[in-house]
Amino acid sequence: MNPDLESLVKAFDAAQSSSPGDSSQLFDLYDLQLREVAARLRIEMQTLNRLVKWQHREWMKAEKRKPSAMPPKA
Amino acid sequence: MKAASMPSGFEARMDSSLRNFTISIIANWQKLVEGFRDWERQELIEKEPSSKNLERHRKEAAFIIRNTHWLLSLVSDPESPAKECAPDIRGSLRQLEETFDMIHNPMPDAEAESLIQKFFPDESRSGVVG
Repeated sequence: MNPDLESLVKAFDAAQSSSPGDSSQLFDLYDLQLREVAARLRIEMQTLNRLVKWQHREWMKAEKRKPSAMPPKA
Repeated sequence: MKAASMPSGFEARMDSSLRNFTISIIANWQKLVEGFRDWERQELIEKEPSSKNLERHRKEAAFIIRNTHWLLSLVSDPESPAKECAPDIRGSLRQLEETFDMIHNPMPDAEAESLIQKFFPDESRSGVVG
């Protein structure tokens, strides 16, 4: 995955999966990163946010499909 | 006629009661949101949701989001005895709204793939971070 997109997906995931106490601050960091990438690539922030969410969901589905690292029970 | 006087210690008990009342609403709401988000993640994000779950989520998530707006307004009131809870509620509200949008207003696959090709061209297309 492109490093910019990967970094955004990770920042979004951190904010989405954090405890409520941390999420406001983590969303601020995500928004800052989103604004920076959107300005650099000249893409609308809202469009980029929707793209990050699409990629995040694809990633979560892929993670769920991965086999567990735990050995099967005897 | 003399106005009825406050019973001794009433003011202190009232302060405490108001705070306990507000905190108990917040605690119940937090428990509800935690359970809802677990179900949401398992049934609607990590796998393709059934149409029944999608419809159920659309109604229940919208109701929870409306209630969270109300709760945020309650704790942000200048007279609120639990103002310190506002950042937590604001954070949860954003999480709920982002997930609602992700589930019910997703970017179409073709549009996402086209944008990735245009703006993030070395994407591996595996959908895996790292």
